[in-house]
Amino acid sequence: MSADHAVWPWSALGLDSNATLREVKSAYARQLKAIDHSDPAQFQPLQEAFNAAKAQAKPAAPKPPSMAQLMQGNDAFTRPATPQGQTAPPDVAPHPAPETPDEKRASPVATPTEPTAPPQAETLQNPPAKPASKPAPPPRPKPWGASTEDLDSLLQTNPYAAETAFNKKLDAALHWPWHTDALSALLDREIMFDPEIKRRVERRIFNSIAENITDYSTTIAPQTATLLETHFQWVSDGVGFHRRFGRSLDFQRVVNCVSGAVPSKGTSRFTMEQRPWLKLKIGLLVVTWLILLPLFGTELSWDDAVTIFVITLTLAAIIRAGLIFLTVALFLIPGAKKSLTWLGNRVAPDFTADLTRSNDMRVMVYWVITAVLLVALFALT
Amino acid sequence: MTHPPIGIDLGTTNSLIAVLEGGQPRLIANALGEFLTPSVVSMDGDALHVGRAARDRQATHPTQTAAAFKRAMGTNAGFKLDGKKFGAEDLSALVLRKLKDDAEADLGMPVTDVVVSVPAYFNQGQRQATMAACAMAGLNLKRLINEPTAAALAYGLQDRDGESQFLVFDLGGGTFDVTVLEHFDGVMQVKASSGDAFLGGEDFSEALAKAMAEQAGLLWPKLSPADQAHIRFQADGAKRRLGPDTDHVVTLRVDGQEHSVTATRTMFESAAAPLLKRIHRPIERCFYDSGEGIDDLDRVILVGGATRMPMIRSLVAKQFKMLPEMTIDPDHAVALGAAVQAGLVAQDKALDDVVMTDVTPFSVGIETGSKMSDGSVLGGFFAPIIERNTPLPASREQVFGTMHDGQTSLGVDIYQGEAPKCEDNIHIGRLSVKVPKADAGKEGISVRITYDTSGLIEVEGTSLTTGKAVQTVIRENVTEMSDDDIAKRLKAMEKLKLHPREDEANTALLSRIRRLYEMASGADRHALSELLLRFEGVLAQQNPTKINDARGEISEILDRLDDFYVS
Repeated sequence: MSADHAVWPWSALGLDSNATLREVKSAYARQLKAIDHSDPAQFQPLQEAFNAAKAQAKPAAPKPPSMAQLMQGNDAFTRPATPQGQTAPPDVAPHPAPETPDEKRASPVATPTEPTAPPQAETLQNPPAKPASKPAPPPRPKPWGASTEDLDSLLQTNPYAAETAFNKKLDAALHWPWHTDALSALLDREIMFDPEIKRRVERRIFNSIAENITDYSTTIAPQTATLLETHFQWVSDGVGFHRRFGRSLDFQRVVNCVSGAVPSKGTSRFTMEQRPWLKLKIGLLVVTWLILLPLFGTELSWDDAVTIFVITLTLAAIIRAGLIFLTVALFLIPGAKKSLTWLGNRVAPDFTADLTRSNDMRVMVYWVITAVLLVALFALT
Repeated sequence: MTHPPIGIDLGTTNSLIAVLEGGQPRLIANALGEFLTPSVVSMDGDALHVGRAARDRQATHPTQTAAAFKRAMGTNAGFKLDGKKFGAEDLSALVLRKLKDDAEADLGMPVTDVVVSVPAYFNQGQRQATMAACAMAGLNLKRLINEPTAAALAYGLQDRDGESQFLVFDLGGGTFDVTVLEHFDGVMQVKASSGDAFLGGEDFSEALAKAMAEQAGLLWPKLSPADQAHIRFQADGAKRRLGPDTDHVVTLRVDGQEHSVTATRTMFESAAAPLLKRIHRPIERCFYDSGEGIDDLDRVILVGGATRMPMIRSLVAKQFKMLPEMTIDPDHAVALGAAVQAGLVAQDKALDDVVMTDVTPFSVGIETGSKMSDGSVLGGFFAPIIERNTPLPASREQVFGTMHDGQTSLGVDIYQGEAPKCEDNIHIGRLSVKVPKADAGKEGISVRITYDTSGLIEVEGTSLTTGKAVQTVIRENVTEMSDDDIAKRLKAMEKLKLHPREDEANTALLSRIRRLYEMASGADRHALSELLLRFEGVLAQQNPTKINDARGEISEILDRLDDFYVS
């Protein structure tokens, strides 16, 4: 039970609360080696204490920049990671100015390089504009700046400009009703590799749905839903979606309008357990059979055979819904016997004549039908 | 006699076995002197070929050969070899048996206890199929280890006192895994793991094969399985040889006609674009779940043969903005790490200060329903109890109430997966808990799910009033195969003769000559049939040194031919 109770993280690790990250880590490592770490009752509290202490501990020393960061020093991506959820401005819609303040903070390095960017970008059909330097563009003139496909190459030469252009295009695409094709092209761009940007885009899309669909009866177009599913897996990764957006008041509504549009594919390609009732049901069927049969004795008439056939199908239908239509069809045919005899006369007149004369034959046919039915049932399931 | 710890990498394309000696893992070579044993099984009369010989027979005897069966683990899919039906577990068991024989020959003692690696994103059903395969191969499986975690262990052992945060990018023959780990003070801690169990190098070969067929004006779905196998084989070779700006001309022979196709990098890249898209999702999930960003990573490690593709490396470099590492051969890392894990399980003295913790890649929870205001009941919702990427072992509890007046029992259906609707997740078990009669919501049960390090899931439902508990353990027995079945199949498998080990190099060479014969044309064919005759003649003399010499000589000729035909 102790695993479910909160423990003061530092006392669990044997430290005081101003321990550094390094101290927390080595204390955790020491304790982990001391306990039986296959026992959840010992492992779990330690794990939780470690996570809690780690989140609050002071880093021992600032991390040196990585080689890649040093190599592309003018990269806007080198800005410090911002916590998830805070990065998405909910009201960016019509004013595509450079997004959040922390980007501006990171951009001083990037901005001076922009005027020098065009030489590299000469190969593009449309010059990549000078987006960031002029912050007052008309709200929605269609593509200005680089075309959507050029965003990838622009990203190589001038990531900041690429991001700005991307955001503008996203604004245009998300204007309700969405331009799904434009949105699809945007979501395929390399800039979406950046998880932070991707999360921001996801939040914008979420907000756009939440603002524009306000009831529970509307769903988005299946094509759009498929697009969102490809990129964000709101439906197939419901757990992750809930983690990201579960606290939003609009969550239920968005789930409803998105999942309603995505056909449930039954992604579980492997069911581990066969339904246990199935075999029991088939067993019941066989037993019913054996009980029913002597009731008719050898004097099995055509009518009885048809009746039993119908009962069989009904029972089968209980097991497999797919056979229901067959049963119904049989019930609906007026005079099932007549039609069967008629069919028999057409297909195999001699055999049908035999059948109507000999009772043994009827019993045999009856058994054959049963056998075929049972085999079919087993094969189907 | 106890043997040293043994680890096995049971791969889609190749399998390896490694042993831990003196705290260091070492790969064991097969009878051909190679570490990689292709995971291919081929039936030849009543004898079975496993490995290289079987892979070469794939081109000449496609209907008697099965490959990439790891993808069908946990399904009922059957493979027909010469009319006999085998399941994916049976075929995997044969590969395992082969590896076991190789290890026994190398170590000179019987091998029983092993650790086997599985993709991190394998679900419970696929894991159980792997367990069954081990049982059928006569192996005692000590633990399953996730492949990226194994690779991380292999890397971690190189640098025991290091402290770093890294990501393992594992693109194997058939599966893709991403794992974020933290390594400090001898602790290897997995923070998050995600993946795609149906994405790997084989898909890239297939995509290139289809593109090549299209270029030759052939309709892929209309080709016979034999022709498809032939084109796939050629595509696989071309894939390995495609450099940054080199093109390769490949000759496809279909229906007696020769089609000359130029495989280019652009063609491959456009064919593989849809596959590359699928690589991003698991990476994102992993970052999101671990709470780390790209900037927090110190290293990115590439594992799995498919990461040799330049396309993949540039994608990784772009996505993570750093150069990925492959200081350990990407084909070897997993097997080496599995051996380390075997040492950890056996409490090997040399690994005293190493601890590894892993996470669950899938959420585990139960089905719930809720009553709407109009009295109707909406069911089928998945309530995760242990969420994915929780460190293992974990044990969590949640309370659920009754829904109807006078309800006397609660059915607990246990699912694994991430979808909000249970029907899209995998049903892994069920239990029923009795509660005293009372009004709706007045009675309840607590459901505790315990997930241990070996992947065993235990579910316990306890009535809150009576305190009576019902338990179920989810493991082998949920699959259709009971212990009896496994024993029966074990017997059946033992009857199947593996090709004698001492003879393996020769059969492999014969298969190879025959495979090249199929590919070659004109004068080369003639030369090859002569080679075949010559080698068969040498074999008939039964002089080991002569056979050895001839084998070396012929192999060299074949190498040159192979280069010529695939490039």
